[in-house]
Amino acid sequence: MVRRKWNLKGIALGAAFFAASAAVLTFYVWYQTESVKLGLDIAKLDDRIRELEKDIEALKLRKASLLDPGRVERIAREKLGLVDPEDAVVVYERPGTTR
Amino acid sequence: MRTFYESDIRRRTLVLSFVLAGWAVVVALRLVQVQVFGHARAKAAVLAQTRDVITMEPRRGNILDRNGEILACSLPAARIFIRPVAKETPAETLRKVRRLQKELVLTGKETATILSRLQAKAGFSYVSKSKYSEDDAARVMALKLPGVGSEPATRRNYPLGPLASHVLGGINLAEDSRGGVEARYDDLLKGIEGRQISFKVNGGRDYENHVIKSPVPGRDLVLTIDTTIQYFAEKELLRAIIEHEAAWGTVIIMDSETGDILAMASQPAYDVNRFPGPQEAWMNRAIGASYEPGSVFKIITAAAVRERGRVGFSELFDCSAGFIRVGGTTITDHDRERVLSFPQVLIKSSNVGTVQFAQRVSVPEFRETIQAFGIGTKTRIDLPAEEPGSIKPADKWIKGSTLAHIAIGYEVMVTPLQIAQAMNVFATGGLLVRPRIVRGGAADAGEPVRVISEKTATELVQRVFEGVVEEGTAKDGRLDGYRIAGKTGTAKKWDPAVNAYTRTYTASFVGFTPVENPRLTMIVVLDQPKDGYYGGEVCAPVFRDIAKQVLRYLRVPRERALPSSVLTAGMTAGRTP
Repeated sequence: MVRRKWNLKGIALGAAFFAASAAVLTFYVWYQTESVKLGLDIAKLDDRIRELEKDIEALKLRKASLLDPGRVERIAREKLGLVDPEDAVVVYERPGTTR
Repeated sequence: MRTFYESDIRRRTLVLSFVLAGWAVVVALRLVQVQVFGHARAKAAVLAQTRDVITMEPRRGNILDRNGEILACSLPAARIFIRPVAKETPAETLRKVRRLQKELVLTGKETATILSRLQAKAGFSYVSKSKYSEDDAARVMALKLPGVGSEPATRRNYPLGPLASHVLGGINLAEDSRGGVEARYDDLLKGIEGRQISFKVNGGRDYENHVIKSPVPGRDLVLTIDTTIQYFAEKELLRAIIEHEAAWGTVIIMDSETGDILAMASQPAYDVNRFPGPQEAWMNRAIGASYEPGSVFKIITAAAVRERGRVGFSELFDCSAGFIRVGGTTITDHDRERVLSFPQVLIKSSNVGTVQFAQRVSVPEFRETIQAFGIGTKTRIDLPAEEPGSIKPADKWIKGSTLAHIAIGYEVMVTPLQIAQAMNVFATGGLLVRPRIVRGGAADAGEPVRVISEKTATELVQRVFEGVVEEGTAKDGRLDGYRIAGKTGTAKKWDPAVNAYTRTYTASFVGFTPVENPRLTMIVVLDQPKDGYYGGEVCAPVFRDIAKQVLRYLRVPRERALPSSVLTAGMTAGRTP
């Protein structure tokens, strides 16, 4: 039986190739995982944006209904006791002036 | 030499080979039949089982007032759909549909339609034309009914309820019926639908959606309406309708210079969120009610004679008889007058005097002026269902009679908007400005058209129409601090059933203010008012009350001093207010 002699150079090359392949594979897997994670994050943020846009629209609608002139007048008159300004000439008197 | 066994094996092998070859040919032929000739059918069956092409609804554009306030907008909602599920028994299907009926309060007709489509394996269909809130949709989805799904949609909301109902029109829940600007500008508002493919697993649940074409949202529409002015108009109109128990009423407020409609109110009205509302409220009276205007039409008669120089301001007309006979008919005054000057005839709204000076123009001349003021043709405002009104064809005019009757506002049909447009001719110094209700809409086209000279318009305003409010039939419409020019109208209503005029009236007042630099042209019309029926009595005060609020809101400076009502206020030393 002839014992085969190990070729150190070959082993080194093989190991290097294996290490490089493992590194590439690891990077690829990491890249894919990160891509998917980022994609999911983007999708979540898109959903959040859509939700917030919906909220904005709903709030705009709420604001419009709160600014209903009829409602505003009702509150002004009934709750705050405001009245229409009187049609009159306003004369400002200096302190100490007698009329 | 072959042995017996060798030849037997060979024969058997041959037979088997032929059988296998034959089987292979049969399989191949069947494959060709299925894959080649049956390709389209097989593909359709596979696609139907595994995916749906769903229409993506675009967001409908908002409707805004001139200040950017929201009058209509669409909020997210959902449409619920259902599709047949393989291996589901009819009993299970029925149970599922009954559950949906209960949850979504479906009508019997809707339920029957769903069942028949499911039984016919008709594929994807909506459970109802209506849209549901997202909460309702989530509740139904939580039931996890096989084959039932929801897709995003939008639902129309009108935050101000009945305000400007006839202008906005509205959309019903099923979105197959529209009115007002929603109908007129539907193409612009609705946007363009998108499409997406929805892939599904066995049981009908979606696992992936691919957008093929994104929906294009509708464009926003900006109206010329001012929400606050619209509110003033509607509030005062409703108050007058209730006070006078009128059948219907309308108020239109125009920007005198631009023709922008600042408010268009019509009663009875409805809540736009419940479109179409009760039938009696459907008509937009401002543009859809065609009626005999009565004395407000004298503004056109006066313009026709003055523009042609057929009457002088100092000319006198004998109205003392209280009636005048024309073409076999008798025209009377509501009060017997004396000898009146031309302006006094109009200020006191004497029919007898008006007929006398109207007869100084020929029929073609009078028709020409009437048409120039826009009577008998649509104003082409951006709203559906506008009436053109009508003027009798020239050959149908009865000699001596028709001209006289039209001169005082009978035998001619107009809409309130046409009369407002006609009065605005005097506010603009003789120019006819087309009214518009949508900024950048179709009605933007066209420059103002000169109808009468500036001199005629100014003279009539200063010597006649202002007098109507200061000392004439519209004294109740006077407004402290501002000058108003206008004309009242009180027209008896024609009853076709008895073929005669009855004791019911259409009252109106049309005018503009301030006189020096007109900002508002307004018409108020009340149909069949009770407890007073003269235009000056029931409509002029409404004009005054609305104008007072609008002028204050628009901060229009006063034209003249207020009556001597003085308020005093203290002032901090050294500071001037």
